[in-house]
Amino acid sequence: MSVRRLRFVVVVLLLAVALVGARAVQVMVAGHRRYALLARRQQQQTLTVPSLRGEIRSRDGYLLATSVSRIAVQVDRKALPYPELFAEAAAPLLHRSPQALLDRLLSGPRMVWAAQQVEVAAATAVRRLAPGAVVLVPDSSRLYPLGRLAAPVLGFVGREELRTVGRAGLEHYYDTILAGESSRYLAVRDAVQRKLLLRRLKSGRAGFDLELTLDARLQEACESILSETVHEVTARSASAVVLEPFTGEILALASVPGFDPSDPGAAPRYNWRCHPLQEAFEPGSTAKPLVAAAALAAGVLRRGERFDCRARGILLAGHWIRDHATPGVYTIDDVIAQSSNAAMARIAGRIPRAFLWRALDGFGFGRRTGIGFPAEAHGSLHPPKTWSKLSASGLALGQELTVTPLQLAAAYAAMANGGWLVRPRLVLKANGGGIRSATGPTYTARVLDAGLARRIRRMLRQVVVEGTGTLAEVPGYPACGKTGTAQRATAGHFDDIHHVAWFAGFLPWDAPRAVIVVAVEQPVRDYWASSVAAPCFRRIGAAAMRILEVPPTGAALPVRLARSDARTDGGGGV
Amino acid sequence: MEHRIDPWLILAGVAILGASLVQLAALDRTLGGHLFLRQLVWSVVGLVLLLVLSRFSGTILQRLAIPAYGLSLVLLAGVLAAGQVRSGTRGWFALGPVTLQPSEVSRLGVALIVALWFGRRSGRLLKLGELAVLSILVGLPFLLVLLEPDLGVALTYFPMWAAAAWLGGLPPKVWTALALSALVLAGGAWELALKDYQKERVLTVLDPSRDPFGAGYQVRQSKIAIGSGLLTGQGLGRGTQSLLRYLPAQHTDFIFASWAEATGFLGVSFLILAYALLLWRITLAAIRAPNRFGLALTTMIGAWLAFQIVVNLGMVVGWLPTTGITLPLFSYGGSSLATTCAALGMVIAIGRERLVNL
Repeated sequence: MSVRRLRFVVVVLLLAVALVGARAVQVMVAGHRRYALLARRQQQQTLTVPSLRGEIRSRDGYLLATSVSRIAVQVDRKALPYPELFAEAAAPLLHRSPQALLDRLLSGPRMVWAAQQVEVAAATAVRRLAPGAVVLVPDSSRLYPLGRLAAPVLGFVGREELRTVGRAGLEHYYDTILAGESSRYLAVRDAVQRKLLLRRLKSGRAGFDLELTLDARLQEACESILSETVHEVTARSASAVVLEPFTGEILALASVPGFDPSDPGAAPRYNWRCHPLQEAFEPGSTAKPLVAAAALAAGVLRRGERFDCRARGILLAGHWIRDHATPGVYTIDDVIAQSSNAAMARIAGRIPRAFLWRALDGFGFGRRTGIGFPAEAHGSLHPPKTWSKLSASGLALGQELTVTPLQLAAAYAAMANGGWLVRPRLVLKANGGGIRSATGPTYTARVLDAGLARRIRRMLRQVVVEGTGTLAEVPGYPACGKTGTAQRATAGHFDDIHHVAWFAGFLPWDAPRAVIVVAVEQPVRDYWASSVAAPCFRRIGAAAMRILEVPPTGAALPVRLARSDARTDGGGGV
Repeated sequence: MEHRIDPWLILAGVAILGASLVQLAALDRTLGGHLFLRQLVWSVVGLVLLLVLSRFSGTILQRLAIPAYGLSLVLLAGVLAAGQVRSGTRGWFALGPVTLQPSEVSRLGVALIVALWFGRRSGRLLKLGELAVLSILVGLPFLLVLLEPDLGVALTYFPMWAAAAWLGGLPPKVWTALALSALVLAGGAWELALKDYQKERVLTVLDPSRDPFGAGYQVRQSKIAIGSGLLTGQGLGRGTQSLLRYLPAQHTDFIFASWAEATGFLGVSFLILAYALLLWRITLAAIRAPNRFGLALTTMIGAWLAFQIVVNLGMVVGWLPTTGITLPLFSYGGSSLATTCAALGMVIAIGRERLVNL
């Protein structure tokens, strides 16, 4: 009797043991993939430590941006026995208030950042306060030794955890080159989250350095001259570009008002913009020499033809176009020198539309220069089939298209260097980055033939000698250029308040070393380019010649004499 | 009739004990505290006890029953008065470096007294009065252990009561009544007696993801360890779950998980086969027992060991709530080891007196 009952007990118990044994085997075999993953996830962790970011230098050797090693101080809140005492002692070392530090230590996740970008000595002192709880992590800080200089060009950086990331300007555009490669470590943690083992999986590489085409001294001169101008005429902002006409290297790229790149948040976002290439305006009369070149190339002017400009304006397609030029009868050279709207409008009307459009398109308007900068403006140049009856004359007066100061500088560089459109460059070389070959050739196309370029240069010289640009003359360095006073469209229409005062030119006029474009936005006290932008050009030109160590040439060429052979030049190809 | 000692039972016991010592030696490096040395000493003590008790005849065991039971009650009462407290349980006598856990040792007394009573009664089925006597014999020490309080160890008294009741035989009506009252009792205990952490452990079995960093943590880590073992394991003392201390109680309650991680499928199979062999040899001893005393004693010991194995492994693989029941002969713990060895010694002693030609 009992034996039968015993058998039952035996069967039940052995079955139970077999069942749990089978379950253990099931966990081992069927669950292996899942449990092994869980094990790895809780035991191992990959840490990424960013490398030091590359430097940015100017062509004359000034350090514009650099990175220094710092320490990020991490605190294990569970291992910190007396947070109040620790906060009291560590706060002065970390330059924080004890209360703010304590708040951070009393809540949140287990590992908290007490401070980042701390100097090494201070960080080691903090670690000595609580060796078991404080973890020091390599960190870095971005410094701009020259302060606000060239800030809109350089841009600024932001942080993602411990990683420094370019947020604007060149810091953003060349982020991958500057950032280098991070090191990666494998950390093994135990059940109380202590790191027991740290092994390097991949060693990083410091970021490459950038050497810019900017000349720090010239940049500084430009920025201070623009600042004074902005102050004098109560302008909203001002831009200046100084371009080497044969290589396309940008010697200065000034945008005022600027900001402090180590604290960009303190300035309004408007100041972050790099105006010379992120803002496009109507070029106004600075477009006239380009249209004149198109007219000469198209052969629509008779030799020695004179234009009657005594009416202080012209009626075109039912619209009266004002003319601010001194009344008179002018040759094409005088039209440019006096900046006569009426004559230019008539001349432009003779040029075939497609020809005019191709000429302006050839100068690079309406598309990016490809300089390599974030959010570069296109400007606008509409195709001929969308033009109205007024469009051709509008373009002649620098309306109906918008250009950036940089685009205008590139177009003027073509006149200066004998007809080649250059590609502007900001980066001279990157340490190992191979930027030069990546951006292609310096010259993109020939847009003027040499004779035509020479003729336009003479016209521009005349502007400075006897026309609207007399205030642009630099003693010892005969300059040439063109003024332009453009109205800005605000809320869809033009008014007499929002202006842009331009001056575009180069010097010395017969052997150009620097193309300079100045644009002053919304000047209030005085808006005429001849009295606002031209003096600005003069001062920048003088500074450029001094810094580039160009020997002064004596007196200016007798322009009137030179003009006689200019007439024989005739047209030329575009 | 004199028979020789059952070699298979000894072999199974020594195999498990040897594996335990190897694993503890490996854990020593992580946990420290001379686990291996202490357990080695207890193993020697246990084996000596086993050999001594295996020489006894059934009659001597019967004579020992009453004094052993009395001593058990005295020890249990004494530990409540003058015991040492470990993690909230007053359950240990400390004699210098040696500690004794009366709740473990008392199982022997209970097994002997119940077997003695069982051998002297007659009749096909248990009467209600007899059931009451059985319940009192087991229930008295059970209650004393519960007072320590040590629910895990107290639960190991239950299989002995159940085995004796089943062997004695009860009418189906009584079984039904018992099952019903067990349900009511469980419900009452849930409402009144169980502490919150105990309820949480039970609920976690039903839903393991319920509280992955609280009650579910241990089982989760245990399953990760078992699942990481592969065929041959990560090597003794190299299991990452053990080494990095993710695995809790890895030398006592969860030693099976650390063994599985270290030795893999092969180690687990070895251990489970050894336990199967052990239980099978105890079963043979019970079937061949010469009298009702021997039958009851071996059955109760077998039921108790099987219960511990099932509940411990069930806990480790996440099927049963964590109760603190150890794996016999394998978990670290001197009193438990010595008690188990002594029980096995008695099984061998009964086996030597077996009926020939069953």
